[in-house]
Amino acid sequence: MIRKMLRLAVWGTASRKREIIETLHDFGVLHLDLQSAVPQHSVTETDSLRMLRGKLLGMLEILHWDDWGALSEESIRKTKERLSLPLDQLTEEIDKSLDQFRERLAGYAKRKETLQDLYGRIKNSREMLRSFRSFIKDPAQADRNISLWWIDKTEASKVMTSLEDSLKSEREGSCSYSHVTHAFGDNQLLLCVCVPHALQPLAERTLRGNGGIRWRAPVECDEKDTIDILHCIDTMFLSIPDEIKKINEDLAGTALEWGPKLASMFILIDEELEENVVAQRSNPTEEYFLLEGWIPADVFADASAFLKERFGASIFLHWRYPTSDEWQDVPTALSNPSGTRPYQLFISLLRPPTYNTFDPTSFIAFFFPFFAGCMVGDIGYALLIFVISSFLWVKGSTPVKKDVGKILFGVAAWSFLWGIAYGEFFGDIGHRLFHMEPLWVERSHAVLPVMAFSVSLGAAHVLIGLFIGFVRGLREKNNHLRNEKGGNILILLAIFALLASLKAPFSTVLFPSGIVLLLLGLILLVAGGGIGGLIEGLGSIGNILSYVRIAAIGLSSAILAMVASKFVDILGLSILGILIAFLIHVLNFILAIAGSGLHSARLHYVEFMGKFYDGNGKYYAPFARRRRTLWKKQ
Amino acid sequence: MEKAIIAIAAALAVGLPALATAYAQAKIGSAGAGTVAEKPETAGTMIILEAIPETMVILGFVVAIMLILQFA
Repeated sequence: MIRKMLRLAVWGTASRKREIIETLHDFGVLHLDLQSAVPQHSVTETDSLRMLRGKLLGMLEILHWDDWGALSEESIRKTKERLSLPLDQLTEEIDKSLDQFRERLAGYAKRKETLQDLYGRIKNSREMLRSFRSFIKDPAQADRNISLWWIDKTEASKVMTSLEDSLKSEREGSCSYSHVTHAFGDNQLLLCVCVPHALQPLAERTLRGNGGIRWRAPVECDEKDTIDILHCIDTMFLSIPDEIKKINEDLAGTALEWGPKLASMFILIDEELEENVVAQRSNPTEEYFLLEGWIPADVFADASAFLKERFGASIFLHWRYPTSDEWQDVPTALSNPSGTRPYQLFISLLRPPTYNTFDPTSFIAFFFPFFAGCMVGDIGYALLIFVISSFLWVKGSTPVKKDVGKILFGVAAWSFLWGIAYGEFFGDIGHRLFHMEPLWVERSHAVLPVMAFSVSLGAAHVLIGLFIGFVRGLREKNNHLRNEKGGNILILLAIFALLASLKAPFSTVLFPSGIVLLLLGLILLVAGGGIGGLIEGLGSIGNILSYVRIAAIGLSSAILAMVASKFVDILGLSILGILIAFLIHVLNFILAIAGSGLHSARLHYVEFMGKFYDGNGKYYAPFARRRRTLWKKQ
Repeated sequence: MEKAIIAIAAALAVGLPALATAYAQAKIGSAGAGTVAEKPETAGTMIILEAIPETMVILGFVVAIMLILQFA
């Protein structure tokens, strides 16, 4: 149901403004209406707080600190106690400290980035030299000069001939040089040349003259000798990861030590910022200020007593009920008993209902598991769903997971009951092993009765939806809504009466009654929605027929489960037969959960809620300190 | 021969809507994924929209069952 709200105006003396705002923040029940209020003061303070908050968040990002869940209220409280300076001094101090801290962090980050870049280059060089490693380290090449050259692949033979000729001419026919090549890509060739020291200048000139480009090691390993380069690259290849690891460890240590402190500071600054914004928009004068908003009627007495006791004559509260003109602006707060509260999840996926309309949570809490259970309809699957629901209910890490567990528990209970009605335990295994018989019908054989039952369920469900819409029309004095929904109800009742008159013994009464209802319904429909109203009437019939999916999905699930058992019949009690049957059951189970949930939800959203739901409300969002698990999302 | 024709009719009754449903869901799914990425609060609406075309194949399935039960 939707909680009753009150319009509350809080007048307070300017001298105690911050204190009153802080108390309201702590109390966390007033949904502030700041739209009409205009900021009165300079926004410099707010801007500096925003900047500080941004810096703190940036710092946490650099530290990769994300452990908001472990942040205790105690540590936030302790940080608050330490930060007892006036706001402007506090902002300045924190800002200064943050700048120093950021410089330190930036140094770490820069060093890490440099090392990562160097490691990439060293790795590439090492990869390039891999093919020449044995050649370079060959003892026969000792006391000779080794150099590496990039040359064009198409020019390779020409370059080699030219080099050989020039070296031979220098030594008068005898040339003691050796070389190795390795191709990189389609066009490039890396040439490793080994010549006596005396011939190195000549070899270099010749190679440059033929378009060769000297290969260079990364600048950190730019040694004279190629063997030294190789050694340097090997050493750095091993040492850089250690250095990066050490930086990471340092950063992790810093994050562990400073993360919670910075996060606490972030939370405090954020809260301060919120209060600051509220204070600015509180229509202040020199003597008093005014805050307006909405408060649930059921907490007003407590809040009022608390504020009066704490602030006495420094505060004045004025409240009233919202007028019908204001309903569009009143925030919607839902309140349901603990048994049906998890089903508010379905409403949370939509925009909330407008204030003073209807909250369908209690209907969803009954019909959703009922329909889903009717589709699953298997004792074996029900037990599996029960296990999953218990796990989520007990071990769920978030309220949403716990709610899903509770919803699945309802589905499991109804699946179990429908399983008894259909006599199914993992398809026909129950019948084969335990001679289980259906309490009502075997749905794989009696298809038509189950379909007729589904459509009847649909008729009841849609009629309830139309009735709620009709009541809403009456309450809101909305003639269009009232006539349209009323006309729809009469037409559906007329159709049922006419259908019943075909077989019922008292058809002489039912038939004329049906005709009268039909005419009345058509008049109301046209009065309510014109020609569009007639289309709406046809839509309602389509909506009812749509409930046949309950039978169709249930039937496909039952047949798939029987197919699994057939494999054991065909292949015998072999490993293969059992494995295939098991896999089909797993598939069927997943389809059963997903299909039943999705279609049951759809029947509610489209067929049922489409008849009355008005999702034009806005959520009740009180001015409160947010839970720490939500900070990450800010 | 008559049974074969009924079987083909039933297969068409469920097969053609299945193709249409698949086509519609593919289009809605890709558009829905984009929308949810931009506005996560539309997830509920997108789930509903994604499930709407399934009515076609479910009604096709019902027609196929009726054909088989009535005529086979």
